[in-house]
Amino acid sequence: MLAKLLKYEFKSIGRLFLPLYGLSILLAIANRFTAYNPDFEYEIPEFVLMGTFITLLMGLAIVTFIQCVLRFKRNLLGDEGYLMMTLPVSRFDLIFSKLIAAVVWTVIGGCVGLTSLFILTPYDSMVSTFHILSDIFRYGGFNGAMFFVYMILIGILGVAAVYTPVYTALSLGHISNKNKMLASFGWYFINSIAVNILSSGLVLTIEKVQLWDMLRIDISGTMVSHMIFIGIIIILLIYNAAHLLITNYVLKNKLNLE
Amino acid sequence: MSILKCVNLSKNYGRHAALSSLDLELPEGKIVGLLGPNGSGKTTLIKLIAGLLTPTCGQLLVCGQPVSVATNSLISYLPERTYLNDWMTVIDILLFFNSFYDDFDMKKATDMLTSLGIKPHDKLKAMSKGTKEKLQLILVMSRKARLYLLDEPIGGVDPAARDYILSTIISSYADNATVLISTHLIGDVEKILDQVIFLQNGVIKLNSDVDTIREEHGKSVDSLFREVFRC
Repeated sequence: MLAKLLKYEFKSIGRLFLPLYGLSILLAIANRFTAYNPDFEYEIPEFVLMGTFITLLMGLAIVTFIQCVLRFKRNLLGDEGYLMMTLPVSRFDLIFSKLIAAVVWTVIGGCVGLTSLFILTPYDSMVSTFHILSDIFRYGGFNGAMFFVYMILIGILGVAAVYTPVYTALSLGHISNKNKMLASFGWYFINSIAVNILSSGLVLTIEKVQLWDMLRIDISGTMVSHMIFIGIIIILLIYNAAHLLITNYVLKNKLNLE
Repeated sequence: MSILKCVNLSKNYGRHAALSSLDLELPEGKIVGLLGPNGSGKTTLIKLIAGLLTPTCGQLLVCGQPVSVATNSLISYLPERTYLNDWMTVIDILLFFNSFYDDFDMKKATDMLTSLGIKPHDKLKAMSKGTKEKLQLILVMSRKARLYLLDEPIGGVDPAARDYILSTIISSYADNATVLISTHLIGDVEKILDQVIFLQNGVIKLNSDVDTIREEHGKSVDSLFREVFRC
C-alpha cells in the first residue's frame, strides 16, 4: 500500500516541481552564457537574468517546503482527508508516504539548486574547491566515500527532521475544536521548547559525567569524527521516530475531521 | 448478523453534545434513512462510523469489528463535501479507487459514467459541483461494500439525475449489505427506504420500518417528519 500511496504523492507534487527544476537549469545555462561571455555586453538583460535566477533558487526552497507541508495538511486534514482517511491503509503508511515524498522532493530540489550553481561556477573555482575538500579529508584521516555516506544519511534525516515536527504540530492542532492553525503554531513552539530543554539536558549530562573520561579509551581523532557522525545520525533517527509516532497516535486515536 | 452496532455512543464538541448515549443496531439488506433537522447529529454519526471522528465514549462496531483500518474496506463512504483531488482526471480517480479497493468494479463505474455523460478524460478541476457529486456517488456505489454511508447523496444533484442515482443505489447494493442515507430531501428518497431513523439533538426520536409508519400513522415519512420536527 505504501508503494501505491507514493505513486500518487510523486505524481501530485511532481507536476508542480518538475517545470520549476527545468526552468532553474535553463536559467543557470543562460546566466553562464551571459555572465562569462565577453561578447555579451548588454548589462540590463544580464542583470535581469541573474536576478530571476537567484529569486527562482530561493523560491524553489520556499515553495518546496510550503508545498510539502500543505500537501500533508490538505490531503490528510482537509477535505481530501475524507478520501484518504477512509482508504484501507494504515495511518502510519499515510504519514510515512507524505514524509518520504517531502524528503525526496527537497533533496531533488537541493540537487537541482547545486547543479545550477555548478553550471554557473567557473571551471577553475570548481577545481580548487575539490582540491580544498580532498585536503580536508586527508588532513582528517578521513575516507572520502565514508564521509559522503555520513553526509547523505545526515542530509536525509536532517531534511526529515524539518518536516516531522511540523506534521506533529499540525496533527495536534487539529484536535482543537476551533482555531486549528493557531493551535498548530502553539504546538510547534511547545515542541521546539521541549526539544531544546531535552537537548540542553543531554549536552549538560555528557559534560557533567565526563563521558570521554568514563570510557577511558585512547581514541584517535578519526574515531572521534566517526563517533560524532554516528551520534548525530542516532539522535536524528530518535527525533524523527518520536515525532512520527506521536503524529501516528494522534491521527489514529484522536482524529477530528470536522 | 448486524452490519452496524452503536452502544452508548456519544460525541461532544467542547461542551456541546452532538450525539448522546446512542444505541442503534442495523441489520443487513436494508436501505435506512437517517433523517433529522440541521444540527441533529446525522453527519456526526456517519463520520464516527467512517472513522473520521473519535467518539467521546461508547462502542461502535461494523460487522462485529471496532472501527479501524480493517473496517474501511467494508465501508463505502460518500461525504457531504467534495473530496476529489482537482489535478486528477476522471480516469485517474477511477484507477485510484481500483488500486486501493479490491471490491471496486471498474466496468460498472465506466458504464455509470457513460449513462451520466461524464467522459473519462474530463478534468475534475473543470467540473461543476453537481457533476463532481455524481462522480463521487458513482465511485462509492461501484464498490461491493457491506455498509454504504451516503451523506446527502442527492443534495447538489439536479432533479433529472436524482431518479437515476436512486435507482443506482437500489441496484448496486447486495443482499448482505446495508445503505445508510442521510438527507433532507425525504420526498425524493422515501420510495427506496426500508427503515427510517429520526434524530433530534443527538438522540434517536424514532426508529421504525417505513411500512410500520404508513400503517400506524397513516401518512408518508415526509409528512410524519414535518409533523415531528415542526418549528
